[in-house]
Amino acid sequence: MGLIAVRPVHAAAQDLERVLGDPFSPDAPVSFRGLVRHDEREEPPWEAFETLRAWGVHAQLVPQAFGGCLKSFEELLALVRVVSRRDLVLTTGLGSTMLAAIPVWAWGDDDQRRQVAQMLLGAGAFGSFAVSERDAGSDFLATKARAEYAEGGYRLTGEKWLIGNASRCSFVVAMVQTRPALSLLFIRPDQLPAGALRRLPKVRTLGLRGHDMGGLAFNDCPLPTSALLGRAGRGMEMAFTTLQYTRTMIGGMALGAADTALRLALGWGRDRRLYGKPIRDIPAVRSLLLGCFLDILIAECVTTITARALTLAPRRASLWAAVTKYLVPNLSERVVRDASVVLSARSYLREGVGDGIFQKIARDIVITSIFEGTQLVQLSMIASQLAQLVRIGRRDGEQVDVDRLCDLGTPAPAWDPSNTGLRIADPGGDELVERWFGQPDSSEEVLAAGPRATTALRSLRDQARALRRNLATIPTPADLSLARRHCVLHAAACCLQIWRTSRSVLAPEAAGGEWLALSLERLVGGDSAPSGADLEPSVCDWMYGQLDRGELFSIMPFELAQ
Amino acid sequence: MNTWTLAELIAQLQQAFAGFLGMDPAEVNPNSSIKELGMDSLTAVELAIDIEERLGVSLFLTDFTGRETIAGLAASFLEERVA
Repeated sequence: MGLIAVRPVHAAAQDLERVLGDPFSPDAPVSFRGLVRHDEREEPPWEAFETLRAWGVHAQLVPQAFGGCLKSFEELLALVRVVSRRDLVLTTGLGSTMLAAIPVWAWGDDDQRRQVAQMLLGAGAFGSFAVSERDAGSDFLATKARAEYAEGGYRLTGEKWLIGNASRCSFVVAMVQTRPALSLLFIRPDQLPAGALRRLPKVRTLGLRGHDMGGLAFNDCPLPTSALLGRAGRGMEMAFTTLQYTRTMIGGMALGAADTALRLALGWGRDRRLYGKPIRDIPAVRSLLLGCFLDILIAECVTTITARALTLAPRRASLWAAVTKYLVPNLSERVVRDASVVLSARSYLREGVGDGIFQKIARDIVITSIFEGTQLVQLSMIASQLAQLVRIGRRDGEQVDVDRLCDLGTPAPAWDPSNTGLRIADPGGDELVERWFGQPDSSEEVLAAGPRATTALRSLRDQARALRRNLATIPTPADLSLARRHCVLHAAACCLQIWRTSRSVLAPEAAGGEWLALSLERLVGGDSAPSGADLEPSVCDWMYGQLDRGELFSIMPFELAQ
Repeated sequence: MNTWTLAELIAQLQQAFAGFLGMDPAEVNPNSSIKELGMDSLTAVELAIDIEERLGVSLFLTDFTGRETIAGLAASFLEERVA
């Protein structure tokens, strides 16, 4: 350890990584062998949760103003990746808690904040964000659970279903019908009379088998007026805002899972010999592996910028969190699929390579594109906001400083929960796309990354021009392909701007821009496999170097536990 | 709390919708459905917050059908206030 200078935003994650140990080693505090064993039994990985609690992970969910260590979402993202590369069950349990805590930090009263801070910092409690119901998923307005105002308090009746941490939560933030509209209620199960709350049985799932997924049934449940969280009737609005934070962190979950998938495939590609040579020397295998690496780098650029934007350009987050939530799980699931092609039969075994963790990742990662708004929900939100931007142009008069936003050498500012600056669906603009694919021609700026980068950039500019034309003629695009195309352009712009602004703090191999050229080509072509002899070898060497040195697959050096 | 009449409130809302939709207030027919005006449920939620911040008029989306009209929303707001 210690050969790489640790960036301040990585310090906590680096420490946690060290404490959790090398998951490939069965003797590590949190090992793949142990995690697979719990998965087989469909039970939570208790020891791993305990290791995280003992390290102090819950303090990372509590803002500094309320006694915790949560500073920026850029820092939290690094922690999410470190935990998720081991087991998404862990991040889902902690993430559901965070989801319930964010509205308390942002809109709760002092007493509600104090209670949650105490529960998290003291016992390492779990929380539940209870929004969905059997007949109301993405459609919030279909919510049936209702709290009637009576006798100086509320009486809540209704069932919340597919709720994370349902059987073990110490606090619940529930979205329910009230007068005049949907509200959020803060509920302490330990303070309810017997019979008012029934915890429903665990729901059996394809992946995340150790996750505590269930439901909460309220039956004429009495709640004090102080249970109201934020303003009455603004529950949906608070939920929309809260989800922008957690959707961004889901990018980190997908990235963590993809990292382990690629690590397993690369190790297999190196060790497995067929036809007298390691299979990674077979051009088709090599191309798949390199594609996985590029997908991770692209996804990392997108997620990192949105995480920074949550405190640097919060108004843009309504658009960018949706782009991240759509794009990053997609890219990461493709990494897992392509890694499974390389692993071939080994990807199908519940033992052997990585103690059978791959098949678990393949089942677990599917959730990242489903929960907290499906892919169709994200695309609809993006389409709606793009139409709005085209209709009225920039309204807020603010111009996001993209150089500052993408300067990874300077940490993003700490989160101020009492002044989030987030909007629901009024992003004001997408300066990254405008900067690279608007006017004037920006292709000269990537000359240093070589002619292939320039050519790819020109193709993307053509795509952007066509998209603008299409958006201008269709005011409300029901055609979600326009939203998809915007996501691709946004991803390319994130890669370009990070390379442009942060070259000096990236891994030395990233500075030359070979990865940038290949990533842009991949984005231009949809899923075109990397090919050609001029750029690929150096990016492949970088990828194998990160594997051999024990680093996260990343544009930034991050040393893993050995 | 303001004391707008129905006609005044409709005019205020027309202006807010127009600003949000990039239209001239005169083009915003208060009897057209908000869906016809180009709103979807997401932008309607955003606009409701915007109107609340700027006018102090709280509009709540309880059952977004897109068939709501500016005139209808204004009338129910004034009714709620009296009740």
